[in-house]
Amino acid sequence: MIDSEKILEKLEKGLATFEVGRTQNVGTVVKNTDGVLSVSGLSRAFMGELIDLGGGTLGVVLNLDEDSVSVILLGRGEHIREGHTARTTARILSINVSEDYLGRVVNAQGVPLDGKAKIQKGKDMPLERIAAGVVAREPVNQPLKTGIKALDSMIPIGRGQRELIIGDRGLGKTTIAIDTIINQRQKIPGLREVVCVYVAIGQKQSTIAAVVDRLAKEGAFQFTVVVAASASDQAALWYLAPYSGCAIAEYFMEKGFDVLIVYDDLSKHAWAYRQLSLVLRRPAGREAYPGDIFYLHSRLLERSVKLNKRHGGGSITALPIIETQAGDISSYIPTNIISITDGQIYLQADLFNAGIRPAVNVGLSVSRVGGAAQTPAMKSVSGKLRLELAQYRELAAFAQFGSELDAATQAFLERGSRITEMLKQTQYQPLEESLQILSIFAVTNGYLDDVEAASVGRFEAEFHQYAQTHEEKLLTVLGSGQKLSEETLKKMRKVTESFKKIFQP
Amino acid sequence: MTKTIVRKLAHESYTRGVLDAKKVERVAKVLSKALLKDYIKELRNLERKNTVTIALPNLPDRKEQKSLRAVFADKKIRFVIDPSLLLGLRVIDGDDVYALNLKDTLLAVQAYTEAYD
Repeated sequence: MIDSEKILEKLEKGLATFEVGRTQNVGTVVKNTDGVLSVSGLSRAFMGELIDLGGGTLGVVLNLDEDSVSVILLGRGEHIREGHTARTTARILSINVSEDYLGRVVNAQGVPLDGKAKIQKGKDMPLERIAAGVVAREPVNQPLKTGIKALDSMIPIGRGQRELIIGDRGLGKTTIAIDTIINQRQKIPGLREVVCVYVAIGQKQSTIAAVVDRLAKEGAFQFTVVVAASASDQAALWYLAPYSGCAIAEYFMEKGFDVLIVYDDLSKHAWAYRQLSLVLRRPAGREAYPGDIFYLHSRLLERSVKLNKRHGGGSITALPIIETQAGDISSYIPTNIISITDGQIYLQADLFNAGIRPAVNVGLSVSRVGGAAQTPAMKSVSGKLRLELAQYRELAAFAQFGSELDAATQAFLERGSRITEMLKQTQYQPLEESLQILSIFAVTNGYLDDVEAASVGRFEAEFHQYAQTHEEKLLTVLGSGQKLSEETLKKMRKVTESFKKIFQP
Repeated sequence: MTKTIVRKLAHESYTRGVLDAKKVERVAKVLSKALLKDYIKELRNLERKNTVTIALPNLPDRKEQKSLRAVFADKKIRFVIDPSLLLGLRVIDGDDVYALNLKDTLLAVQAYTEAYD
C-alpha cells in the first residue's frame, strides 16, 4: 500500500529548493555529425554549459561561433534531427558524488553500470575545476606503497605525486596499477586510508569486467570506484571520463581521504579529443592533434595534489598510463605527459620477454619525489640498489665473456643477477614493506651470493614464511618504517643467517 | 563575394525596419546558388531577431495588445493562440524564451521532482 503521506513529504522536500526558471535560451539543430551537433541560436550559451536536447539527452558546448554553437552529445543522438530544439540549462557539467560510489562501476556521467542499487544523491562536483593553488599545497612526504618491490625500493611514489606508467601494449602497465590498488587494502598506522578510482578509457568491456572481478577477489573493490568509458561508448564519454574520475577523487579528498586515481589510458583519451576536435573543425596541429592537447592533460593532472593540514590534508595521487608504439617514448603525447608528471615507470619489451616482470627499465624510470616518499627503513636498505642494478644491466652484455672477466666484475654480475631475480614479482601479489625490506637487505648484503639464481624466488618465499613465523616483532618494527637501529640490523642479520642454515637449495 | 558581404547585403535589404522586396529581388539576381542560400539564411535570422512571438491561451484584447507592443516597441509582434498554455503567456524573442505560463511551470516542476529523486 503506497503511503500517501510519505509521497507528499518527499515531494515537499524536493520542491523546497525549486526555483521557477522564467527564461530559457533556445536554439535549433542544424547538423548532427558523429556525435557533434551544430546548433544555431543559443546566443547566451557559455563554454562548457550543459544543453538540454529533450528526452533526457544532454550535450556540452565545446565551440562558440558567431551564429552557432557546437555541442557534443552525452547520450544517444539518433532521435535528434535538423530542426530539433535545444535549450540552455545554465549549468556546467558536473557529477553527483556520494560515498555510495565506493564499490560501484559508473559511466562518465555517474550513471551506475553494474545493475546494483540506486546511488544516493550527494554533492555536485564540477568536472572542470581549477587546481588547488600553491598556498593550499604542501610537499609530497608520505609514501603511497605499491607493494611492488622494484617500485617501492627504487621508484618510490608519494601521496600527491603524478607518476606515469609508460610502455608498449601487453607489458604490464595495468597490472602495476591494479597491484597498487590491491595493496591499499593494508591499513598502515600513521597514514590515512586510501580510496581508489580506476578510470577505464576506451577499453573492452570484458577487460573492465576482468579488472573489477580481480579487485573484488582480492578484497580491494570495496574502497574502489570504477569509471568506465568502454570501447563502444561515444568519443565524448571517453573525453569526459578522466575528468569525472578526478571529480570523484576530489570529493573524497575534500573529506580528508588520500585518493589514488589511475587513468587507463591517456593515449586513448588523446585520440578521443582529437576525433572531437577534428569534427568540430578546430585547426589540426602535429599528428592531427589540436593545439590544446597539452592543456587537455595538464589541467587534469594538475588537480592531483597534496593539501596542507589547513585545507584538510587529503591528497590525490595520479597514475596516468600511456601506451607507446614500438617503445617510442619520444613521440608527441608521451613527451607531453612525461613533462607534466613527477616521474615515469618505463616498461620495456626486452625485459618482459626475458622474464623480468615487472619489466621496469630502472635506467629510464625515475621518481622526482624520490626519497621524500620513502620510509627511513626502506631508504636505508635500498640506497644503492638502483645504481647497482643499472650498472649491472649495462655490464650484462659482457656476461658471455665470463672467462675473460676479473673476479670482482664476475662477483658484481652474480650479485646483479640475484638482485634481478629477487625483484621479480608475480602479478596480484603485492608485498608488505617489512618483507620487502628483508628481501632487499638479504640480497644487497650478499646473503644470496651462494644461492643459485634460479632458486632466489623460492628462497625469498620461504624466507618470508620463516620470518612471519619466528620474527613477528621484527616485522612490526620494519613495517613501522622507522630508521633501522643497530639492534634491528643485528636481528635482521640473525634471522637471515638462521634461515640460510635450514634452506635447502 | 564573401559571406561577410552577403551578410551586409542582408542588412541593407531593409527599408525603415521593413524588408524591401525590390532590394531583395535586386540582390538575389546577382548571387550564385550557394551565396543565395546564405543570403536567405541571414534574412531569416534577421527576421527572427526582429520578430517577437507571443503565445497566449486566448486572443488578447486591444489594451493587452497595446501594452505588449509597448514592451517590444522596436520589434514586430506576432500573436499565436495556444490553449494548452492554460494561463499566462510565452514570449519568444530571438533565442530567448520567457516561460510565463502555467503549462511550462508545471512541466518544470515535473522535471525537477523527477531529477530530485
